[in-house]
Amino acid sequence: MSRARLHHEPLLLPFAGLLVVLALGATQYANNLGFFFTFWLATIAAGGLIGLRRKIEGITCRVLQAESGFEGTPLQLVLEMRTPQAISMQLGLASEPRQPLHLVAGEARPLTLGLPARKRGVHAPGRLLISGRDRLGLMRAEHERTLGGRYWVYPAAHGERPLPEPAGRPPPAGGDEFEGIRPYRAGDAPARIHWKSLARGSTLQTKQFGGGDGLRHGPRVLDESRLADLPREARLSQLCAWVLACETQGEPYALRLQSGPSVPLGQGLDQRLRCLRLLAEAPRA
Amino acid sequence: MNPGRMNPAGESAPSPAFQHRLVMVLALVLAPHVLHMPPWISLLAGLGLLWKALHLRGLLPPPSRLTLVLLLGGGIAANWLTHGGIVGREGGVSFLMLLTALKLLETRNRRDAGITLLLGLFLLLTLFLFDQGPLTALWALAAFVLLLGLMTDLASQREPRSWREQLRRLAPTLGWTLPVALLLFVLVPRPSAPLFGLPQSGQATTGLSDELAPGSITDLSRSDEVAFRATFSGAEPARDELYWRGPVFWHFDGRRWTRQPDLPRPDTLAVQPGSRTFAYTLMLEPQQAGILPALDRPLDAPPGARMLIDQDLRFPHPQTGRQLIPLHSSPDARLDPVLPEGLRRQALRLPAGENPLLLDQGQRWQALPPRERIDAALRLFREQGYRYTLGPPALPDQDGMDAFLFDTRAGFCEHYATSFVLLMRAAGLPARVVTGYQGGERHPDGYWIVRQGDAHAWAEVWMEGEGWARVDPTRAIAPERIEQGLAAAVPQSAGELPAALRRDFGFLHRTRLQWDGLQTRWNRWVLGYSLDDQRRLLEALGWAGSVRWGLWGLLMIGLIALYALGRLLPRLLKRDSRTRHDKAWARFERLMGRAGIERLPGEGPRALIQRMERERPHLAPAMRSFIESYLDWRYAAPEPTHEARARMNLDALRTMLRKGA
Repeated sequence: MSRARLHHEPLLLPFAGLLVVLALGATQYANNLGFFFTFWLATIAAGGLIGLRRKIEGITCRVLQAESGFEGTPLQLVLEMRTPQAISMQLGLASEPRQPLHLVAGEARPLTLGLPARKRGVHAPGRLLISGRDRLGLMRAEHERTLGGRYWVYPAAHGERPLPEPAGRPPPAGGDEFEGIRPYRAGDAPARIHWKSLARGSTLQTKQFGGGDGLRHGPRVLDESRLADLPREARLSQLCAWVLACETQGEPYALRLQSGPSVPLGQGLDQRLRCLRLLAEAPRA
Repeated sequence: MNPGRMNPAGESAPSPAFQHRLVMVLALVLAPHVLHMPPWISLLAGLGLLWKALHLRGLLPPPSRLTLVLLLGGGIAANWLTHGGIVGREGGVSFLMLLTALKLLETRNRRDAGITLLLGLFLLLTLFLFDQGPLTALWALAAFVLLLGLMTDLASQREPRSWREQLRRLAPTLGWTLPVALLLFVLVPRPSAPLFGLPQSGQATTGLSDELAPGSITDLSRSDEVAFRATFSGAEPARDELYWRGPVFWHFDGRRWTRQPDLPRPDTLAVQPGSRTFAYTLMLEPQQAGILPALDRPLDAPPGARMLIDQDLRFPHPQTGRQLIPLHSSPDARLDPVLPEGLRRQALRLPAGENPLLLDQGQRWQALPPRERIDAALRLFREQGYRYTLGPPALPDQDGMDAFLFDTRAGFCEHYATSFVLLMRAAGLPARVVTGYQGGERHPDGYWIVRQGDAHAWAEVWMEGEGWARVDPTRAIAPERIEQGLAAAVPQSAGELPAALRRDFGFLHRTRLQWDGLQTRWNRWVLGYSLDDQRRLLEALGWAGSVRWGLWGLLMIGLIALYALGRLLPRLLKRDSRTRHDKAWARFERLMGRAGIERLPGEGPRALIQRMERERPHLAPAMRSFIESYLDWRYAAPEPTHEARARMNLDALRTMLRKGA
C-alpha cells in the first residue's frame, strides 16, 4: 500500500512563526508562564503532526455496495469506514467533491458517497481519496485507496415502441393449468403468489402453472433487429424499457442483440439483471 | 452539515456559529488587557468585536476594505503617538490588539479564521508581560483551551460544540501533552540574560526612585503593591531593626534630593561586620531602577549586583523578572570610620541662601559634642508639637524646610529626614538621607512581606571614630511607626492607608495573607524558576558537568520515559476484559439486590428476565435491555460498542431504580 502524502496547510508557517516569536518573547522577558504555554502549544502541535500519517493510513474502508442503475440516475456507493483513533476527515472519490466524516475510535460507520455520473457500461468505483488534518490544522495527510467492486450503468430506459408480441399463437385466456407450488423466489410476480399457503402459516410459495417454460404460448423475444430504424443507443434504451415492462407484467422474455449475444428465455430478478448487464456492456456503435 | 458555502476543494467557509464563538473567545482574550492598556486601544478593539458580532446577526454590513485600511492606519498613527512605535511592550501589544480586532472583522474564509486564532493566541500570551499571577494564569488557561478548541473545530470543519463537549474532546490531548510541557518547562535550559539589550521599559511599577522630593514617599505609602519578600534563615532581627536600605541621597537643592553618581565602593572601604549577622533571601518584585533594597547594613553584593560607595546595592539594569537574591546583613556593622575628605565635604553641603531659620538653629548646636547635637534635634521634634501625617500641608518652594520646621510642623518621614539632615549639616556633622523600607508584615508562613507602603526615609550622621550612624527622626515623633508599622502611626479613618496596611479588617486581612502565601509559592516555584534552580536540580541528581548538556540529556531521558509510559499505560489499564464483564454483572446484581431481587440458584440471565417479566413488569424492559446488551458484549463479536451499550443500559437501570426509590 502506498504511503500517505503530507501537505502543509496555509496555517503551518504562521503557526511556526508564532512559536518562534513566543519563544523569543519569553526569553527576552524571562517570562516563565510564557515559556510554559509556548512549550505546551508546541507539544500539542507536534503531537498532532507526529501521528498524522499513521492515523490516516490506519483508516480501513470496505465497499459494502456499489449501486448499479440506469444512466442519468444518481448512483450511490456505500462504504464501511473504521479507524483505531478518533479522527475527522474529508473523503471523496477522485474528481468528486469531498465530504467531511467524523469517526470515533473503533466504530464502524457506513458512509454513502455519490458515484460519479458515467455512461453506460461496467465501471469500478475507482480511487477514494482520504484526507485528514492534524488537530490544529497545520498539515494535511492524503491517502489514496483503490476501491474494490464494480457497478453497471444501464442504458437509460425509455422508448415509445410497444412490447413485441409473443412469437407463435397467443395463449388461450385462462388456459394456464395449475401444476403445483414451489418456494418463492425474489422477483416472482405477486399474482402468482400462493396466498393460501401463506395464510396457513407456511413460508411464501409461488404457484406454478403447466408448461411454465412459456413456450406453449410463445416466447416474447426482445430482439434488437426489430428496432433497426433507430440509432444504436436509442435501440438499447428501448430494449431496456421493454425488459422493465416485461418484469412489471411478470412475463418471461428473451433478449437478443444484433451483434450476437443473447439471453435465453427467463424471468425474475436474475433474468432482469442478466439482460440489463448485457445491455450495459453492449459495444458502442 | 455545514451551512457555509463550499469552495472548489470542498472546504466550507467558517459558519456564522463558528464566527460567533470566535468573537466570544476573543472577547475573553482581550478582556484582561483592558487593565493594562490605554483605554482608547481597548475601546477600539472592543468596537471591532462588537461590529463583527452585529454583522453576524445581520445588523451591520461588513466593513469595506477601505474602512479597514483607514482603521488600521489610524490605529497605527495613534499607537505611534502614544507609545512611539510598535517596538516594546505597550506599543507591540496595542498593535496586536488592533490587528486581532481588524483581522476578525475581515475574517471570511478558513485561512482568515486560522490567522485570527493565531493572533488571539499571541495576544493571550502577551498578557503575561503585564501580569503572571495565579488568577491571570487561570484566565489564560481557560482562554487557551477555548482557542485550541476553535482551532480543532476549524481543522476538522465541525460546527462548534457546547463548551463541555469541547473540553471533553480536548481533554485527552491536553492530558497527555501537559506532562510533556511540564517536563520541557522544568528542563529546557533557561536563558540567563535577555536576547536583545534591555527591554524598552520595565513594568510600570511604583517604587523607590533616584530622586527624593517632598511627597514622593507619601505617594508610595498609599500603594499596597509588594516590593519584595524576605525569608530569613536562622535568627530574625527585631521589627524595629528592619530597615531595608535603598538609595542614599547626598545633594539637596532646596526642593529635591539627588544621589551620588554610581561610584562602586572601593575595596579599601571594607564593611566591618558587627556582632550579629543575618542571612536571608530576598524575592524582589520587578522594578525599574535596578534598586536592590537590603537589610541595613548589607555586607556584600550578590551576584549580578554591586555595592555603591554609600553602601547601596544596585543592579546595573532594570529588573524585569522576579528573582531570588541571597544576602547577608549586619545591623551593627561599622561603616566608614574614616571618611574621605571629598565625601565629608559633600555630606556637609547646604543649599545656598535658603532656610535661614533652620541654619541658625543648627549653628547654635555647633559647640555641643556630636551625640548631643543629634539629641538636641530629636528633642526639638519631640517637644515642639510636630505631627506625623500622610497629608502634610504644601510647603513653599523657597525656604520650604523653614516653613516646615517653624510653621506647619506637620510632615511625613521625608520631611523629618530632610530637615534633620539639614540641621545636622548646619551643626557641622556630615549627614545624608537614606531611603528604603521600614518594617514589613510577617506572614504566618515565616517570611516578611514588604510593600511599597512601607517606604521610609531616615538619616545617617557621620561621627569621628564611629562612622555612619543611623538616626531615624520619625521615631522621635511617631515611635509607633517604627515599632508597629504605618497603620499604627496615622489615623485609620482618613482613608489614607492602603487596604493591605490597615489592620481593622481582621477576616479580610487573614484572607489576604493566605492569598499572599499562595502567591509567594507561585512566585517562587513557577515564576521564579530559573537556571539556578535547574542547576540545583542537576546537582541533587549528582550531575557535576555542564548544566546545559545535563539538562538536554535529562530532557531526552524524560521524553523517552514519558513516551514509553504513554505506550505502556493503556495496556496496563486495559485489564482482562473478562474482569470487566464480571464487574458490570456484579454491579447489576448489587442494583438488583437493592431492589429486592435475588437470582435463584442456577437461574441464568434469560431465565431471570422471564421471571421478572411476571414478577416486576415495570422493571423488566430496562433489565432486558441491559441483559441483552450484556450477552452481546460477553458472547458476540468483541465490539467496543457492545460494552458501551451495556454500560449505558446499566446506568439507565440505576437511574430508574433511584427514581423509583
